[in-house]
Amino acid sequence: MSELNVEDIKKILPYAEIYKIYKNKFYAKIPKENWIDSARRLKEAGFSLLITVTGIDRQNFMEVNYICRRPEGNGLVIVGTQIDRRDPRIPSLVNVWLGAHFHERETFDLLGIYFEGNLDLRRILLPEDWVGHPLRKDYKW
Amino acid sequence: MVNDQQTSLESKDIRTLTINVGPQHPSTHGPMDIVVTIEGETIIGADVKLGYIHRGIEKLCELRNFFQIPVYLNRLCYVSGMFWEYGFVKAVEEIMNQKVPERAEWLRVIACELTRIASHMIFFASFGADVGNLTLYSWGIRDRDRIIDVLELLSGQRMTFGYFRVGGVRYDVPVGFEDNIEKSLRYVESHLRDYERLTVENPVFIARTENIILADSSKALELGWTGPLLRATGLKRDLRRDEPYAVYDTIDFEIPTGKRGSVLDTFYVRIEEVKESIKIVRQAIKRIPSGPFQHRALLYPPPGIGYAHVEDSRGECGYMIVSDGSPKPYRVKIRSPAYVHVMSLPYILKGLKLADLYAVIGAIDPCLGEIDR
Repeated sequence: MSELNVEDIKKILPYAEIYKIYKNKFYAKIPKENWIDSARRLKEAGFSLLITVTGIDRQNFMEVNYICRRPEGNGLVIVGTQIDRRDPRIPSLVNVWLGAHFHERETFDLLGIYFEGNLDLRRILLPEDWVGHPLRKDYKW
Repeated sequence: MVNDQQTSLESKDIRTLTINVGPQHPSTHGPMDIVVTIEGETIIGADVKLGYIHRGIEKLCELRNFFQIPVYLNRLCYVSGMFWEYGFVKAVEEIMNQKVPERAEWLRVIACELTRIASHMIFFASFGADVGNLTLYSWGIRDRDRIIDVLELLSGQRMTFGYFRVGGVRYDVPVGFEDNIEKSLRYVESHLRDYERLTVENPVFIARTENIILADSSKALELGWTGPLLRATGLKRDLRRDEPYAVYDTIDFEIPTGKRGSVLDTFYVRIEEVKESIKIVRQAIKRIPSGPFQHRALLYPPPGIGYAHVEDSRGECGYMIVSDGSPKPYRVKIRSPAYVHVMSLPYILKGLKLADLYAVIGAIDPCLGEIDR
């Protein structure tokens, strides 16, 4: 299989800013409104294996990411979008990938991002009565 | 350990019962709690509780320099530490476009494949204990020890190796390493036939495991499964072949697959994988070039984002690293395959018998260190 380039991903996600980070690996920055739509498009285009859902605390905003790849190899996309840090909410991906559920639980636990539509959003790694979200940069320990 | 029994005797729900399997249970391979609801002998619901050994390694990584971090990461999974160091080192190398000498790439392949054998041996051992086959337990531990001896020659440590460095590996091989490795491989290989006779050719073992179906291939993909469990469902997916890294694209090896995604298939796949790993190590010993085993590298990468994957003995071990150009990473996300598999348990356990739960946990081969992080 030939190597992918930025244009191939641009065809799938026309609204995204796309950067090549390494051979066959891309970073796509998308608007918040296209979060679910981008996942559906990528899944239809063959990127059907969800690697993980995660987030990055950028201090003045929160970034949510999901990573998906083609199971037969040849291509991996990290999709990222910016959300408000004080009220971090984003639609859940469980209707696209069943396996998004537990990644979202982990991201909620460690970063405090609410995935709307995930009906089982509980803490997973930390105790249920824990206060705060440790992977935030202003977390005091 | 019954904790939530229905009290009303009149109720028709009298037969549902909630049982905590864990957190202290010999079959969970570590502190993990599975709350199963059963009706008679059949499981009708399950919930997984984790975090008993959560050490906050992702947070620790944000507080350490890049070259200090691999020391923490081989503690993620104490039976396959090499892969977890490799994933991180590879992600950093991708951000800084670091070249690795060819000899180091081959040494990395040798280290990883030996670790895969050792990790699968632990799987055979613990799975044997789960289904009541204690012979398998002692054999697995015995053979794994020979592989660990070789890894000790290579890295100086038996479990927490600290072998990978950005730009290469830490040590070259000692004198006489090739003979030692061949002796150990022959020792393990001579026993593989016994494993097969005891398990995949044994009518008792087959009857116990062949009808426990974990998932079909579409469900496995939907849940994000990778590694031997995905291959057991019949899909020929292996990152060493699909997205080759190091020198895997020049190595000749097969990708074993199962048929139906049963517990027996996962066992078969892993036995075949051990054979393939032995084949890979032999090729590597023959083809490894002389030369430097380490290049000079920057102390820390420039700003950027990187993702690297390694085919771990359990699936795709992945690292997403965000660097802001300072000596410490801004964010390290560790993608653990066993976390995905264990958290899928509520989706696959429905309809199975309670006694089969232990076989399923054994087949998933959880490693709580990497699950809880």
